[in-house]
Order: sequence, then C-alpha cells, then structure tokens
Amino acid sequence: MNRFMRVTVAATAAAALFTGTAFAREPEQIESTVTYTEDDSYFINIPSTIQVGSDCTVSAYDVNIAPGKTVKIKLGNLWYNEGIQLTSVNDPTSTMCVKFYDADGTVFTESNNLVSSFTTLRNETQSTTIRAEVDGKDENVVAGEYTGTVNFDIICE
Amino acid sequence: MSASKKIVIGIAAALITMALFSAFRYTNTPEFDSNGVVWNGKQEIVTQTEIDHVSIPCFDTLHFTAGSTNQKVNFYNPDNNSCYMNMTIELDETEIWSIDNIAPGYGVYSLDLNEPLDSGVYNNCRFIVRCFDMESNAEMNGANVVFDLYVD
Repeated sequence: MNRFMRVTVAATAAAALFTGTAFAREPEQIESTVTYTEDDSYFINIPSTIQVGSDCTVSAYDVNIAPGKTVKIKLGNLWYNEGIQLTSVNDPTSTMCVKFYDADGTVFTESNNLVSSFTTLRNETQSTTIRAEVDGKDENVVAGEYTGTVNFDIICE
Repeated sequence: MSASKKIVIGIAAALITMALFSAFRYTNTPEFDSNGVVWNGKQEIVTQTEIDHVSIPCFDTLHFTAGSTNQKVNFYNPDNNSCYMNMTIELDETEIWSIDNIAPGYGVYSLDLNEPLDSGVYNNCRFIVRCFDMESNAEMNGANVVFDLYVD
C-alpha cells in the first residue's frame, strides 16, 4: 500500500469514528403528536305517546358535545297537510290530521319543524314543550281510538 | 366461713351464672328467614314521567372499518325505557343494517353490514329508532339520528 492509500484509509477511519462518536453523543429526537377525539354523545327524551290536546315535553340530557355544536330536534314526518295522519284503530279508512304547536302557539310545518336547539352542558337537562291538536277530520269520522306516530329528527351540527 | 366471704362467693356465683346464660343465649339465637330480599344497593325507580318518554342515546359520528361487514358499535336501549327498539342504519336512504326487538337494558356491540363499505366519509347517514310497546306491540314515537360515517 502506498503512502497515498494509507493516508486515505486513515482519514476515512477517523471520519467514521468521529461521525459515530457524534451520533452517540447527540441521539436524534423525533417528535410525535398524540391526539385523541372524544366523539359527541347525548341523550334525547321523546314522548313515547302524545295525547292530542295535552302538552308533552322533549328534552336533552347528558349532553357532551364539542363547543360550538348544537343539538337540533325536528318534527320529521309532517307530510300530511303539514301534520301527521291518525288512523282509526277500528276503521283504517277513517283518518284525521293532527298538527303540532310550540309553547307560543305557533304551528309547526314541514319547512318550520325545529322543535328545539340544545347546547346544554353536561349534568343539565333542557326541555321544551309541544302540543298536538286535531286540525281537520271528516264529517263521517268514526268513533274510537286513532293512532299515528311522530318521528323526531335529531342532528348535532 | 365469714359472712363477707359468703357475700363475695354469692356475687361471684351470680356473675358466672349471668355470663353463662348470656353466652348460651347468644350462641343459640335461632336463625329465621328474613322478609324482603338480599340488599344489592339502590334500584332505579322508574317514575311515570320516565315511562311516558323514550330515552334515545344519540351520537353524531360512527367509525367503521373499510372492506369488512363486521363492525364494532355501542347501540343500546337504555334500561329506563319501557319499549322494544328496532334499529336501522341507512346510508343514502339505503338500509345497510337493522335489528329488531332490543329490550330495555340490551344492546349491540357487534354487527354485520349487508355489504362491506369502501373508505370515505358518508355524510347525513341515519340511525333510525322505532319503538314498540312491550305489551301491545303498538308502535310508539321514534327518532332518526343523523350522523356522519367515517370508513377507514
């Protein structure tokens, strides 16, 4: 091995040693961000049945939603003359229309169906009152019980 | 024997007799069946107000695994309800899963979709809850919970 080769090998070895020493003294640090998202959750109480002519309440509780979000409850199926259709238990051909009103007496319609907006804090309960009234019935309406169901649309946005 | 000794002996005899009697009485206390039931802590008492309502557990986000029909969820009928629940998931008004007759206090941890889903975010999906009286099976009011489905 000539002198040039010896010098080159010695320089390379020294550089490798120096580099290794440098890494050992200053370990590389890699940052990693830890994130977690707790999904929004809440409970809505809806009336299981609604007695026409009586008030009933819709409420929200255990609301755990992100700041700025709102839970909205709407009447979802006001498709029958802006109300819902009740049908006679005894005679399915006999029907009537029931409309819903807020506490101020304003009628809900298919386009104005927002019952309430809740931004309640946890461990609090907020409620709102609605009322159902018969809107129209045939002159030939038969006596007996009438039934129908309301579907509440619930959205958090 | 002196009078004082007789008194001391008499008192000692009386005390021993009382101690033996007490010990016999406590060790031979007859066991009897109690009325009532074994107390396991306070129970939830459902009031009439609660009976008249249905409690709907709501959410605004679900996370599913792409390419798999089996998914993990937390759907349940709260035990303070007094109705059966039928549950359905609709995506673009197409039913992708449903189950009937979930009693109060019961729920679903795992479900099988009708079809596996591709990755993506599906907005305005619907979790439809239909409620039925536990005696007459008459349908009661229900709810449609709107949510966003994230499939990864």
